Amino acid sequence: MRNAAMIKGRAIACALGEDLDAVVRGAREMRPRIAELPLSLAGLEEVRPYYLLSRRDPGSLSAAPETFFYEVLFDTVARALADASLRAADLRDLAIFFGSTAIDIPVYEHAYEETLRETSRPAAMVSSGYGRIADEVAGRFGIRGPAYTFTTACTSSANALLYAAAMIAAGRIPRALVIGYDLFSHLGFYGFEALRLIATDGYRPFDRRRSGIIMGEGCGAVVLEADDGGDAGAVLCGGANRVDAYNVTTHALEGGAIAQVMRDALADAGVDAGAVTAIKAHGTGSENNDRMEGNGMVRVFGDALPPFTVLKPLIGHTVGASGVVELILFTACLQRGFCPPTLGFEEADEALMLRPVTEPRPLSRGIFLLNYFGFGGNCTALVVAVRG
Amino acid sequence: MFIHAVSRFVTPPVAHPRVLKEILKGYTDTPFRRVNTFILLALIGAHRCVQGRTPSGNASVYLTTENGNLGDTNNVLDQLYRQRSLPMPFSFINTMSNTAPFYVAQSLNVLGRNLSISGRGLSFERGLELARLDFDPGPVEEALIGAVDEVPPGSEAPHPAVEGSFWIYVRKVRNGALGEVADVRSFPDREALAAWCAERPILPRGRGMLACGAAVPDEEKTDWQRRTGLALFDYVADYGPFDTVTAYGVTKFLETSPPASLLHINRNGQGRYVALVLHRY
Repeated sequence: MRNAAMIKGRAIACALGEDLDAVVRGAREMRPRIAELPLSLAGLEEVRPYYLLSRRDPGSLSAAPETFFYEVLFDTVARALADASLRAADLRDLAIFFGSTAIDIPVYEHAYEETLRETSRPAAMVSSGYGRIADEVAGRFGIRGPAYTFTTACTSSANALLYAAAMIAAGRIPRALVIGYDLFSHLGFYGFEALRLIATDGYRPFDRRRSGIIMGEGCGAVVLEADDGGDAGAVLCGGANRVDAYNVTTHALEGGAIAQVMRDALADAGVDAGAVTAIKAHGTGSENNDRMEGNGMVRVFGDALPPFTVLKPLIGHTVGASGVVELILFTACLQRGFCPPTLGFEEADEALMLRPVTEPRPLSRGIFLLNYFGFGGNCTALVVAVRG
Repeated sequence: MFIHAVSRFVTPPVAHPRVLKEILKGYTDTPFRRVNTFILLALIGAHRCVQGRTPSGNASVYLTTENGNLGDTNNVLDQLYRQRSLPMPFSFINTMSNTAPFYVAQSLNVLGRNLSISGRGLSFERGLELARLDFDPGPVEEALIGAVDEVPPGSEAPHPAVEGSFWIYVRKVRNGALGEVADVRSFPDREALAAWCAERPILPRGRGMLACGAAVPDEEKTDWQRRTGLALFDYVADYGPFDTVTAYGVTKFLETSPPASLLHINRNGQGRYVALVLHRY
C-alpha cells in the first residue's frame, strides 16, 4: 500500500458544531440540527430544510455575509494550523488547495442584492476571481506557497485532497493546507429547488422512501504532510478522478464510470478491493445517485461489498466542501472507535437491496474508500488508511 | 509533457451565444443545446486544437479560468433578485464552471481526469503544474489544457475587452510533437525566482526568449531581461491585459515562433511567482 500523505492537523465547522469532539459526539448520538428556510425570495410559501452553521443571529442569513464568510474560514484554518503545530517556516512554505462549489457566491450575491436596492438594473458584477479566497487565506496567515483552487462542483475539495496528497508523495511540496468550504447561498438553495432535488420529508439516502438531498454548510481544513510511517493517524494513500460523460446533471445508472474511478483509486493506492474495510458513500439521497453509486459499488465488490455509510444525514450535503468535511468527520469518528451510521435509513430500495450501516459500529482502523460525485459528471474516489 | 497541437481563439464579446455556435460548427458537427458563452468558448478552443486528430479515450481535460461562468451567474441572480422567480435549471447548472470541461470531454469522448482549476492571476500556470504532476509520476498520457474566460456582460473594462479560449494538446510521447512544456516552477517571492535564475542559464542566450505576464511591471521586465540576457517576446501589448492573456501569449509563441525556447515569468497580486519554460521545436 502506498502511503502518500498523513493528516497532521484538522478542523471543522458544520451543522453539528465546530469542536471536533462535539461533532463526533453528535454523530454518535445521531443528533442533527436542521433548520427550515422559506422559499419566499421566489414568491413561494413553502419551506425547505437546510443544515446551517451556528450564527450569532440565527434569524438572518443576510447579515454581514462577507464578515461571517471570512470569520468561519479563518477560524477553521487557524484551528487546523494550531492542531498541526507548524513552525513559522513551515507555515510560510505551505501550499494551499482550496475546493468549493459556490466559491464567493454568498458574498457576491449579497452585493448584487444591495446594488439592486440602489438601481433598478444593476451593472453586471465583476467577479473577484475564483482564486481570491485562497489568496485571502494566504495573506491572513503569511503563507507564501502556491495556491490552487478547484471548482468541480461536489467533488471540488475531494480533488483538492487528491492533488495535495499527490504533490506531497511526488516530493514537489513538503506540506499542504487543504480547505473545503461552502456556505449557504440563495443561488445554490433556489437552484437545487429549481431542479426539484431537495428532500421535503427527511434525509434518507439508499432508503426506498428517499426524496432527495438536504444541503448543508461546511468548512473543513486539513494540514497534510509526508507520512511518517508511524502507527497512528490517518493517511491518504491514493485516489483517482475521471469524468462520466453520460449527462451534465446525472451519472449513468449502470455505474460504469463510478466503478472505474473506485478501481483506479484502489490501484493508485496499491490496495485490493478485498482489503477495503468500509466505504464512505457519496449518498446524496437522490434516486439517481443511490442507483448509480450502488450499482458501481456492486460492480467493484460483487457479493463482498464492505459495510458502507453515508454522512450527509448528519451534516447535510456540503457540496464542494464535502471532500474535506466528510474526510474529517469520518476519520475522527473512526479514531474514536466507531463507524458513523447512516441516519434515516430504514427500508432498502428493492432495485438495489443495499443496507448501509444504521447504528454506530465499533471500528477504529483499516483501509477505507471515500466516494465523491458531482455535476459535470465528475467522479473522485480517495483511499484512506486509519491506524487508530 | 510534449505539445502536439495548439489553438488560439480571441474575440470581442459577442452579442449572442449563437454567434459562437456558428463558429463552433466549423469544427464539429455535434449539436450543443443549453450551453452558454463560457461553454461555447471552451468548445471552440478545444475542438480547434484537436482538429484532424482523435485523442485517446483516456485523455484528460484541464480547464483553467480566472472567473468561471460569469454570464449565467448574472442570469441566475437576475432571475432570483429582479424577477423573483426560481432560476432556470440549466442556467443554474451552468453557473458551475466545470460544465465546460464536461462538454469538452463529452463531445470529444475523452473520459480521463476532468478539472476546472484557478489560481488568482496564475490560473493557466496552475493548470500546467497539475497536469505535469499527472503525467509524471501520475498515470495521464494525453491531455487538453485550456484557458477560458468571458467578459462579464455589460462590464465596462478599462482596456480593450476581449475574451478567449486557448488550448494545448499534450502527450507523453515526443514523436510528432511541436514543442514541450519543460518546466513549471513556483516561487514565494521575487528574490527566490532571481536566485533560481542566477543558478545557471535557464535558456541559452541567442536561442531563448523571455516573456512576462501582464502583472509584471515594465521596470521589472527590464530587470528580468538584464538578469537572463534573453530577448523579449512581448504579447501583452496585442490586446492589453485580459483574464486569459498568459495562455494567449504561450499559444502565440508556440504558433508563431521559429524553433526557440521561452522563459515565461508571471506573478500575482501577492508577489508570488511562477516560471514556465517552453521549447518550440
